[in-house]
Amino acid sequence: MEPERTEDIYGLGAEFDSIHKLMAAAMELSKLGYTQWEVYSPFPIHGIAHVRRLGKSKVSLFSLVGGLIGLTIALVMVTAISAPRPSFFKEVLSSHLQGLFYPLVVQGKPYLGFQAFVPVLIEMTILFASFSTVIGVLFFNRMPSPYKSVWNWERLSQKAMDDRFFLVVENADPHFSEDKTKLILKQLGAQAVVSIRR
Amino acid sequence: MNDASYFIHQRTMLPKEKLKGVIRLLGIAGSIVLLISLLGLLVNKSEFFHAWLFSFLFYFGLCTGSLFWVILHYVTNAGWDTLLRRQVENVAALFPLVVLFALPIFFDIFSTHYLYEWTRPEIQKLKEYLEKASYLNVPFFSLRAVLYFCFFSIVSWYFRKQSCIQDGDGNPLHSLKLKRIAYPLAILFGFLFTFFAIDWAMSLEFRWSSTVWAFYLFTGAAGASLSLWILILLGLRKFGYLLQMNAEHYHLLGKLLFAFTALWAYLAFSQYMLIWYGNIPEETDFFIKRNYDGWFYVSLLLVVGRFALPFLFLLPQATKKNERFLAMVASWVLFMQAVELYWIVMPMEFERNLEVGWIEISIVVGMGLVFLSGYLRNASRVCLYPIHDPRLQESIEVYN
Repeated sequence: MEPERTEDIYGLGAEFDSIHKLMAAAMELSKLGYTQWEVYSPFPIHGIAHVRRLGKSKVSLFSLVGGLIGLTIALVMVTAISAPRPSFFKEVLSSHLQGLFYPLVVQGKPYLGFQAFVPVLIEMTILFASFSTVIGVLFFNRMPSPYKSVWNWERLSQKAMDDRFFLVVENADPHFSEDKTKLILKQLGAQAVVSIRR
Repeated sequence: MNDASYFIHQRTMLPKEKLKGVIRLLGIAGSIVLLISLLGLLVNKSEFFHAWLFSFLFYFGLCTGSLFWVILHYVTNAGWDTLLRRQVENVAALFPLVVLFALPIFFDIFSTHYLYEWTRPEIQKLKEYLEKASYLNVPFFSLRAVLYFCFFSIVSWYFRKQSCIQDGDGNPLHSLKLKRIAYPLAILFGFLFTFFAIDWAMSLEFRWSSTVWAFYLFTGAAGASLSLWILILLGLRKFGYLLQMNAEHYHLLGKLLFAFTALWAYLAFSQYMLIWYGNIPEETDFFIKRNYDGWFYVSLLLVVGRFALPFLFLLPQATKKNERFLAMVASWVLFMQAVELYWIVMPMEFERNLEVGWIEISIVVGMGLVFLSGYLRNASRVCLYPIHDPRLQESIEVYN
């Protein structure tokens, strides 16, 4: 199953049996200037994003924009019915509603009593912010993706969600060289280093 | 992550000898200011006692909030703030001092009756008082007060004491023991603070009631004491201590401050909106009093200053990681906490319009100087961080 030509290789996969070895290897790789590598582990590893030099995540932008959109929609929703009605609507709707679209009379409160609107505004902001955060996460993770080359390595697809830690250096990396990178990964304490088919 | 682990297990302390003069000076200056403010008794006794209660609640809130952070550290089994915890322990341990501040209020409750309407003999004949008399009477009030003060003082003293003993003998079992007692104490803390808030602040208007009152006061106090904590830490950092602290710690503290800003707004608004919606005369009284003339602008200032400004300011990550910005927000929140308590207590005295007299300012400043002196005294006697806490290394390397 080993691929023949370099173009056929997706990358080099290395297996580690402890998180400390993985972290050490990742730090070393990063120091050597590798940028296109990925880590696969059963649980999130604190600090790996820092080692991978990923920088600040842009998901928060999605949350902010989503929240603002939700706030705007909510504002329109709660105020529109109490907005003054344009004169050309007079024929369409009943004309005894104080010139408003649909005035709600609740306990004699003012039509635009903002106190009653605030819960709606908060909830809509949170709802839209959380939806767009999830969408942002999926977007930046390029999910859902039906095919990933790393799954060609059977060991990884069996163990990465179980009890092993994997590091895959991609072919796309400018420093990538099948023999040299393999040697480096072996020196960094990998139990097995495998070329992964594209 | 950095070279900070080099400092670990070194007994870093503030220069005790150098600080001795400062502590004494601050203590004496504060006492003199407080003595001067006693002249206010000759001018306007009622205003004096209200101002004293406002100031007492402010410093009491800072202590209870600090105790909350200490207990929360153990309850949540937190690792990140181990390095920072000693400073909040030092503030919480000031309870005995703050209890001394309460003495003039007891004097008023027992003899002059300016502060709490329900202590006056003519009010005690009214039907609406008699319905609440089994709870709101002076002997029971005093008994409860003694209970609160004893509980808060002893618990804060014990937590700090055990943590300091651990500095000496390095036994990790102290941490486990404190963790075990923290759970029941957290529940007791909640109960006692609830009744404290009802007794000392809500009963200013004994006809009025709000079920979220204690939680509302508590979030304000917790946010303010968090701000004080941040200011202390940044101050120590400025003088070259706690060098292990980095942007990660600031970020975490900033996030907590952000959360408590939002929580405060949530509770304050819930209380306001339900009363506005219900529109029952005995409930609306509180807000009507604070809805006219000068007090209206203070109410607006609370919405903008206590919630909107810190909220928007702390929203980006960069401001939370920046020492200077964080210090600015923290000082502002601390100031707004004082404004909020002023807004809660003082309309009982200045019923017509907002006023700020020299009595209020001198009492707050005087108590603040004594408080600061007490803090420095506490801080200079112990290590700056718990050097043998098993989670210290984790706290230094924290990454979020």
